[in-house]
Amino acid sequence: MEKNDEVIKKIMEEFGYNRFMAEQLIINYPEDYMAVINAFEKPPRNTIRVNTLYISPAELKRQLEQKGFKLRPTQWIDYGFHVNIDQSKYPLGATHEYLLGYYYLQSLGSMIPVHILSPQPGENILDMCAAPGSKTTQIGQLLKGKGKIIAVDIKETRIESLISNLNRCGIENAIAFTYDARFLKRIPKLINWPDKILLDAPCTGSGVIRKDRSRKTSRKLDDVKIMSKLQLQLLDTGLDLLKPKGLLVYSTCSFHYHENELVISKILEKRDDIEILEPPFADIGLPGLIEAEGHEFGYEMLKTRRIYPNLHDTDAFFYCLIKKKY
Amino acid sequence: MGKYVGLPKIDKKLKEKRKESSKKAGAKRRGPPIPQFIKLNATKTSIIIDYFKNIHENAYKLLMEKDKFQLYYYTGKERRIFLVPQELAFLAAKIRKNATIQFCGIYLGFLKSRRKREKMVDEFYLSYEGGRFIQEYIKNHDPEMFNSLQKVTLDEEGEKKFLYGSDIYFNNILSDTDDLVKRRITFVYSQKGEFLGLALLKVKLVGPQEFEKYKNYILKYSNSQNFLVSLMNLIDAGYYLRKGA
Repeated sequence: MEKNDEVIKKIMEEFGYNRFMAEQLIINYPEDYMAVINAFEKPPRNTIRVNTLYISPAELKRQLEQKGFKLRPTQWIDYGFHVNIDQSKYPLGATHEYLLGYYYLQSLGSMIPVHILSPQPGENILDMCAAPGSKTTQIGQLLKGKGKIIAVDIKETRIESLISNLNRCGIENAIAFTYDARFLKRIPKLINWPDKILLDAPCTGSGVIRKDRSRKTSRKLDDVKIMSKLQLQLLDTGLDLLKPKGLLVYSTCSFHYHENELVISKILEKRDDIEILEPPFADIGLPGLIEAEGHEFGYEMLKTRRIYPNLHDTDAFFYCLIKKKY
Repeated sequence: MGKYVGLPKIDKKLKEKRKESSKKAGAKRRGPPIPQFIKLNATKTSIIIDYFKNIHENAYKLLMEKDKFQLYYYTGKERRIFLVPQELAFLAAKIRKNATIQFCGIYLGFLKSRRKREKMVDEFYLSYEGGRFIQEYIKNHDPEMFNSLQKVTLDEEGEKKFLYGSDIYFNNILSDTDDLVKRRITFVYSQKGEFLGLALLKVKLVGPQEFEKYKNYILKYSNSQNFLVSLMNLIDAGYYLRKGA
C-alpha cells in the first residue's frame, strides 16, 4: 500500500495527474502503467483517413507528397496514413485536397470501431452519437453510396459540424437530426430498422490525453459514474432498436473500466438476447480486463478489445462487438 | 351595489381587435417557429426551376425525370433545400413525424429573402455541394448537356485565389472564354478537372488602363472603356474553412 501511495504521488508530481486519474492508470494498466503514462506524454500523431469515395489511397499519397508531406500507411486500416508534416509549408487541415473532401483528419484508434462494424453496401446503419462525423463519414465511404445512414446527436451545435463533414465528404445517403439517443424508441420507424449500430458513446475522454492534457486533472470518480450510467442507457436503447441477428459496436475513447468492461458486464446481466463476439480482426488491440478493483466482469471480456497507447501508438480506445441473437 | 358610474364604455369592435392583436403579440413572445422538414411546395419549386435555367434549360428536367429525387425544405434559421433520393425520401417521411430532420440526401442550396421593388421575394442560392452533385450527375447521365455547360479551368494561381474566396480574373483562366455568357452559372475546375466551385460572369467598373487587356470582352458586353470583365465567386470549396467545420 505504501509503495502504491509513493507511486501515485510520483505520477501526480512528475506528470501532473490528479489522484483519481493516477490511481485509475494503475488499476486499468497494472503491468504497463508507466509505459502508458510515457506514451501519453508524446505529442499526438497526425493521421488521416482517405475518403475512398473520391480518391484512392495511392493517388492521395502521391498528391500530398508533392506538397512536402511524408505519408506512411497505418497498421490495420489500408485507407489510413500517418503523416509527417515537418517538411511541408501547408497546414494539413487546409490543403486543396482536404477542402475537396479527399481525406479526414482522424486518429487511428478512432477508425477502428467502424472497421470492426464493417458496414456493407446496402445496409441500414444507425450512428447513435454521431457528431462531429468522423465515424459517420467513414461509414458512408464503406457503404459506397448504397444503403442508408441515420446519424443522431444530442447537441444541435454539434450537428452543424456533422452536417458540414457529411457535405464535405460527399455522403449523400444520410439523414441527420438532433435527438437524445436514449429515447430513439419514440421513433417507431427505427425499431428493428438498423442492420448495424455504432455506439461511440460519450465518455470522459481519458484516452485522448495526448491531444488534450486537461484530461489529466479534469475528471473525478463521480464524472466516470455519471458517464457509465448514461452509456448503459444508450447501449440498452441501441440493442432494443437493433434488428435480430444485427451487430452493434460499442466503443469509447476512455481507459476507465467503469465506462468499458463494467458497462458490458452489466448489459450482459440485464439481457439474455445478446452475445459478445470475437472481433473479425482479432489482432487489433488486446483483450479487455476480466476484473478490476474487486469487480469481476467475466471471461466474456476477453472478447472485447483495448487499444494501448504504448503498444499501438495511438489514443487509448475500447471496443466491443455485440450480436443480437433474437 | 349599483352599476359603476363614470367608467368609459368600451367599443365591442375595439375590444375584439385588441384581443386579436394580443394573441398575435402572444405568438411573438413565444419565440421563433419550430423548424420543420417538409416537402417543397409548388411556389418554391418554381424558384428552383427558374434558377436551373441558368445552368441549362433541361437541367432540372434531367434531374427530376423518373421521380428519382424529391425536393425537401428545412425551415430553420438557414432555409435549406435538399435533393433527396427516392429511397431515402420514404425513410425521411416516416422519421419526420417524430423528429425534425436537419440534413437529408444532397444539400442543394438555400433560400434567402431579398427586397425587390418594395416586396420581399425568395431567391435560391446553389450550394457548393449542389453544384458538385449536379455537374457530376449531368456528366454521367447526359454527356452532351455536360459539354454545353458553361465551364472554366483555372491555372494554379487562379485556383488558390478562388479557393480563398476571390473572384477570377481572365488572366488566370486557361480554357477558352469567348463564349462565356452573363447570367449563366459557370462551373469552375482545376487543371486536374476537380470541381472547385461556381462563378458568374460580371462586368465591373475600373480604370481605362485595363481596357486594352480585356478589350474583346469589354466590347462584347459594354461600349464603355471603364469596365473590367471577371467571374464573380459565388461559392467555392474553401468555404468549409471560412465557415468552420
